[in-house]
Amino acid sequence: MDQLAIAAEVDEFLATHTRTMLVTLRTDGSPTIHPMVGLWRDDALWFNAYRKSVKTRNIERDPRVCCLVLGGDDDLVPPAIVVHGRAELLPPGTIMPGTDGSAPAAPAGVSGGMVRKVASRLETNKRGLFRVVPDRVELLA
Amino acid sequence: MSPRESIRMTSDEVESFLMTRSHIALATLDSTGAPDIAIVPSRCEEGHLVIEVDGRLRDAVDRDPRVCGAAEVCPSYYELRGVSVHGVAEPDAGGGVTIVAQQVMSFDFSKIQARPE
Repeated sequence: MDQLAIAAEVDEFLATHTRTMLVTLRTDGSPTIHPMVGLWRDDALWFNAYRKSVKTRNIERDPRVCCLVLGGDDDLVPPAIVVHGRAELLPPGTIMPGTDGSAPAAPAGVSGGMVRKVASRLETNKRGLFRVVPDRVELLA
Repeated sequence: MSPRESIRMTSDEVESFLMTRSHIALATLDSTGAPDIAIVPSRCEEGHLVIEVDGRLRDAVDRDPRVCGAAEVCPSYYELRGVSVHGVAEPDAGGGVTIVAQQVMSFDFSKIQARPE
C-alpha cells in the first residue's frame, strides 16, 4: 500500500500531542480502548507495551486498530485526530526513531524514574514496541 | 491486592467521575468489523452512560451495538483518572443511546502514591 500523504497541520498536531486512546479488538471482535502515550515518528504512531498485555495479544490476533490523539489534558473535546491503520509489532532491539536507543522517548511530565523503568523493560524484552502506519486520518474539529 | 486492583475506583467514585464528564470517547465497529472511535457528548443518568450519536456512529451502533466508552483526565501522570465501560448501546425513547454496561474498568493514579511499598 502506498504511504498516506499527511497534511502539514495533521503532522504538526500529531508531533506535538501524545495523549492517545488506542482501540483494539477483543477475542469476541468487540472494541476496547486503551489509554496510551503515542509518539509520532517517521509518519507513524509509536507505542510501547508489555508483550503479555491484553493490547499486545489483541494486536497479535487482529492488527486492525484506530487511535484517537487528543489535544488537551482534561475533558475529551475536539480538536483531535483519529488514525486508522494496522498495528505492527516490532522485533526486540528495534529503536524508536528520534532516540539513541538508551531510553525511550517520553512526553513532558513523565518522570525520569518512569522512563528508566520502561527502558529496562524494553531491554529485557518484557515490553515491546509497535507502530501504527496510518491508512486513513481524520480530523475531529 | 494487585497493583491494578489497588488503583481501581470504587463504584461511587466511578459514578462521581462520570457525572463530571461532558464527553466520552466512543469505540464502535465499522461495516467490516474494524474499530472506529469518536468523541461524543455524554451524561450519566442513574448510573448509566447516555450518549448522543448520529450519522456514521448511529449506523454503527444500529448494525453492531457492541461499544466501549472511555472518559479520562490527565493533568499530570499522578493525577491520571479514567473509566471505560464495555457494553451494548441501546437506543432510548428520547433519541439518546444508553450504554448498558457489561464491564466497567477504572484507574486512579493518585492511589499509586498511597499504595504501601
